[in-house]
Amino acid sequence: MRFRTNANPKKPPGLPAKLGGSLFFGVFLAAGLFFAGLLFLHVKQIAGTYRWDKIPCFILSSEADVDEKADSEKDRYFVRIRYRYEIDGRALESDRVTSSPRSYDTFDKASAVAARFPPDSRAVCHVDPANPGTAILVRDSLGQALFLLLPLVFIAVGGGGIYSMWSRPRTPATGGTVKSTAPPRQVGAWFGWIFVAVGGVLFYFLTLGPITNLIAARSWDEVPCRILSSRVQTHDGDDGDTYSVDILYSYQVNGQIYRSSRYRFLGGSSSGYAGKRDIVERYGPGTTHTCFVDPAHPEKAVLDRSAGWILLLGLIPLVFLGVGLAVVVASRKSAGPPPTRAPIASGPTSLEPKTSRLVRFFGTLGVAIFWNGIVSVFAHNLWSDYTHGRLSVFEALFLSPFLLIGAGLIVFTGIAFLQLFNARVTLELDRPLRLGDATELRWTFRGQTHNLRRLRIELVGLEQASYRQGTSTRTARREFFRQALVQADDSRAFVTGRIEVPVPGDTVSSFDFGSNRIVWELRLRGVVQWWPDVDEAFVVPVLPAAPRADAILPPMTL
Amino acid sequence: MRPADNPFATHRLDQLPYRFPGGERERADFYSVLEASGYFGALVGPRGHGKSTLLREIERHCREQGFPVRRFQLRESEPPPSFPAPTAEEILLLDGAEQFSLRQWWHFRWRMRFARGLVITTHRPGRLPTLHYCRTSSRLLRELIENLSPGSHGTHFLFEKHRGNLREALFECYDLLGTRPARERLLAFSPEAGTRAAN
Amino acid sequence: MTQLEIGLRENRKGYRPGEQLAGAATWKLDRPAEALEIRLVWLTAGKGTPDARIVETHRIDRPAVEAVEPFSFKLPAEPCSFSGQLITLTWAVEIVALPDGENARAEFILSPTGREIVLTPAPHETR
Repeated sequence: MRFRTNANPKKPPGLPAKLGGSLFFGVFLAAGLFFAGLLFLHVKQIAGTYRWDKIPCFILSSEADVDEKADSEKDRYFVRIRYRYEIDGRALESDRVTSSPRSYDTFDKASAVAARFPPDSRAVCHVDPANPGTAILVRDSLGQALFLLLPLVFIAVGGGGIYSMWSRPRTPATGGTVKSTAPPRQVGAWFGWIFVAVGGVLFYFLTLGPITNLIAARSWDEVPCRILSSRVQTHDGDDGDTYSVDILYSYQVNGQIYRSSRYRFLGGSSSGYAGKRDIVERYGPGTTHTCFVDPAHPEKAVLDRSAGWILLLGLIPLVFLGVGLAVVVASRKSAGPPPTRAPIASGPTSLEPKTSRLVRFFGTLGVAIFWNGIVSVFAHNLWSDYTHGRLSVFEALFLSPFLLIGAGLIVFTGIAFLQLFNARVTLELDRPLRLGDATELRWTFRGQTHNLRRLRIELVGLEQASYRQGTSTRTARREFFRQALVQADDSRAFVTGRIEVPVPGDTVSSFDFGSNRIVWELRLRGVVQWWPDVDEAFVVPVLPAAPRADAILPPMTL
Repeated sequence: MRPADNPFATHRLDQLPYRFPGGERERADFYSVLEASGYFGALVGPRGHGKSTLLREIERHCREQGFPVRRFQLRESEPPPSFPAPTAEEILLLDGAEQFSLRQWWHFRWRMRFARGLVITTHRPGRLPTLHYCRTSSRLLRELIENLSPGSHGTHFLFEKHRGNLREALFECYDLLGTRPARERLLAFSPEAGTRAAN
Repeated sequence: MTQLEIGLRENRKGYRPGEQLAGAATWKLDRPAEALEIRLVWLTAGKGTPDARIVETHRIDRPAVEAVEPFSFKLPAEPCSFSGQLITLTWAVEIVALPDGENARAEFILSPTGREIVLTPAPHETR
């Protein structure tokens, strides 16, 4: 099966489309501005505490505790620390640990905070110079300012979209030849790095961190523990509640009692109440089990040190990382013409396809995720309205083009994905191709070769002429040479093979003149039944004929 | 036929003069208006209607008058060139001003404010006073083709097909003419030939 | 009126890569020139924007008003003269008066056979 995509010239948007598009992007802009504003105020408040006075203080008491009366939806572990400090000869006491009261979803987190300030120890607290009665032990991290990047993305998308709607249009190309355009490399690289950053952060927290703990926990001590409480914790969600296991247990190490609520290394909540209920019932209050304790840090413990299927979530960040890296790599590839003659090795040469399948797939996937991720929010609301019998026809009509584009992107991504599993081919030339010379070409297929039905390899020579007039560029291409090297229907001949490639002497070698070029390609097509074909093109330099051994040439008589 | 010998090769198209619909009288009037405006204004018209060609003529005219001239070319999908500040004697010619965003345009205007003159090409009027609106016609295309390749006829379909874009129409003539043996050249320009070439 | 002329030895039109191309430039200037340049160039013409490159230059500063100057260039291996459907590549020796820019040119063919390579659009099936 053959799939082609054609770049169709687009009309500039008319006024209704501009208004509609502005409304669409305006939502992003407004949301981004709103959340950016909120976040800014929050960060500003945190930054204010960094100007407070650092005063020595004495820890009177410190412990992590459970709020038994907390609602099932709230984190019920908290820290209770009381400390004393002196201002202008006056002794003051405070139990405020952070700027705003904080509770934790696991006992370990609360314990870790309390462990930083053991009773009868000295510490440093931060006192508001304008109001000495206000003090905190721990300042919130200014790293929260990095979260401003998230609404900035929405602001960029929204503002950029509105700007592009109303900025002067580019008149589309006309005519039968291909319009030469260079991709927005800078914008592509920018989006790529955002995906890499998001993927990297997620990878650390969802994958690297838990796996590191899993490996380390293999050497932890097995210690008897007693279950103090166990329940299934419910978390509200827009698409329905999710559940998590909340088990508090105590254990003793070197005569000291510790408490922990860590069940597995990768926490979080998910749908599926029954499985969590079974776990909670197994670890009923008062029962004794074995927990695993870090011998170097006895306050760290875990009940179940197996991986669990939820660790598969750790694969999701790899998608973001892969998409981001692919976009960055693709955007760094030069959009300009290749050099007149790149350095060519004299020995065997492996050829690279013009376009990488992986780059093609991740590029399409990235665009599809980005587009459908945004559109899905509106589609979900539209579906919700429909199920509740309050569908707006205008809203549905307005959204339908975006949905169609999203569907198309999914289809293209699917095709690109399927092509990933096509057999891969490597081409190797014994030595560079030269006019009037013959060189051995070797090919090797790896992967799914059993469904290849036909193989064709051709050597093609092309004239490329770019014409610039005014502000636009057109490029015309014409083949001046086409030679079938391999035409095989026998699959036994597909997997690997070699053939002599003769290049005629009465033609021209590869050359880049500037606006005009002579390009040679090896084109390979493997017909696959009921699957996208293997379709690759390899640019191959063809050198001029080898210089003759005799330096002195007899004059020509013409 | 060798590409270099093709009557519609680009180096021949680049040498075509701009043709005013009103002939030499309109040309004289235009240059009077240009001088009266202080070499300040815009050549307006859609793509392929001769704005760049007329701008090149204006450049030659200014040089013949003894003015230092600098021409800038904006191209789609390419970053704009650098714009060094002009001298007070220089006349600036900007081809493709529609490529500028509003912010870029005003930055360019501010930066070039001391130049003696500024003539731009643009698709739509508005940025500078319109000096001339570039127009094409089927007759003009016919004359250009006849000029380049005498004896050709039946070109009206090209004008309609390319919606008045003479550049594209002449581009197609390269293919219509160059791919056929000499005896067929006179018959090359017909709707059927255009369809065959397009396919 | 300035007269410029390039003559190739024995009026040869065809050369092979690596050969020595020799000839003489003749000029008669109507006013003194700052310099004359004898240039070995190739040029493209056809459907695309013309390209040109000066491969080698032989410069004569403050030339006499009238003279004959021999020149010799070693021809490179590429590009060879050819003509396809979109591009014609031509080699030439030209003489240019500076700063006026008046010039004259003599074209020649550079190819292994001494004849222009013709690129035909038909597929070249040899198997």
